[in-house]
Amino acid sequence: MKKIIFISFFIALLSGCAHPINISPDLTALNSSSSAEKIDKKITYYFTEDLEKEVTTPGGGGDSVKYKPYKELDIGIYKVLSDKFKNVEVLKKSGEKNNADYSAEITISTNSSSSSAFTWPPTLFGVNINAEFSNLQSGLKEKISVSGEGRAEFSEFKSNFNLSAKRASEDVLSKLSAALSNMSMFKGKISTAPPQNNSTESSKEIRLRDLKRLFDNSLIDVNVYNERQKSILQN
Amino acid sequence: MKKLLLIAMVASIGFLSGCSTVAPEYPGSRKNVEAIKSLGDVKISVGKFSDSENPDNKKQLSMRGNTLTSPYGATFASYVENAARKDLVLAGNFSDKARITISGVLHKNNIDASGFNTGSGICEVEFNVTKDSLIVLNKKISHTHQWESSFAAAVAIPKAINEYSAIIENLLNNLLIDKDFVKAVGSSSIR
Repeated sequence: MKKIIFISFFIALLSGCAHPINISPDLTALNSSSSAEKIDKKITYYFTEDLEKEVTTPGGGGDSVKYKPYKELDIGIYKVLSDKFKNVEVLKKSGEKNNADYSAEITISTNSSSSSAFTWPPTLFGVNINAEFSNLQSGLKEKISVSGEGRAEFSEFKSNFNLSAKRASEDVLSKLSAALSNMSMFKGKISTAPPQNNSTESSKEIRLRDLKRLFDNSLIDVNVYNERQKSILQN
Repeated sequence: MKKLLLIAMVASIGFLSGCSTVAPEYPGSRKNVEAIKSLGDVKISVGKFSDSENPDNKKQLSMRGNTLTSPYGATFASYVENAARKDLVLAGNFSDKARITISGVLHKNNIDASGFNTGSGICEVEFNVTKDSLIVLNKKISHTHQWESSFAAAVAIPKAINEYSAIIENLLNNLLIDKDFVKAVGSSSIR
């Protein structure tokens, strides 16, 4: 009887929890543009939801995860836009007075799931960014929509519960950057060439960044990543 | 069925208890980037951040039997150093060769995740700002942070881990908007 009470208490304690995670990306995984490639214009952006909005999506084992997508992706979106425009400003709400050339209304949605019955961190995470850009001089509008996906297995996320979400955030921001370059509104104004790394960056650093990108996109496993990283650092 | 429950319990216990976790890297802060940009076209480098022997300066953070370590080095002094560098790089105001350098000494660094309703954390740093190797600012800046916690360790521990970056974000913001700091670094266009 005692055993049943203990098990029931234990299950009640652990099940149905909404575990906090953080979906912030590693910004070093995103390349930067040099200032020469930026549009010499001002862009403002605002989110359609409150920065502090917390959302809950499924995790593993019947549990869920909660996080603040707008707050945690804000710095990444700011960086992507700052890499394209010389002047970027965030507005608290639509219609706020400003002297910008362009504006962007941004909506973020997310989803998550797990193939594990016993661990709560998601093994699959998705982030979608929908943005409507307006040319405030001509009134022209253009919409883009990008989706990012991140996967992480138990052997990887046991030391970082945020891993699949972080990878999804990096993926969606990388796609947002590419989508901006391809928008007809900015055609010819933003360089479509692959972003240049800092000229002082050594080839070793570039190879390490490329390797990390492959790992973050789940194209190589952790063993290959560690082995190659060691090899680059030793050469 | 009993076996399945036992496996689930063992897996859960193993997953939650007695672990040493590396804190997530500092994500960067838009509000700090904006504060740095408002300083003007000033270039700043980041020097060494070290630890004082103050007992309130925890080099590893303890949370309900779990230990949180810095992702950048043996102690959290390196966390503050890397966070400052990251925000400066994101703002485009970082230069290794800048005449102005920020360094510091951690005097307080701790997280309390023991509460069932509230968690809290503190970081206090004595910042040193030098211009051409001359000290232009020596000031202690701190930030105390509170968040909603939970009885369940599976909620309270990840929450505390994720809140550490917010403590450092706000600590740096307190420095960046400090009027003495702004006066020391932002008065002229120094490269």
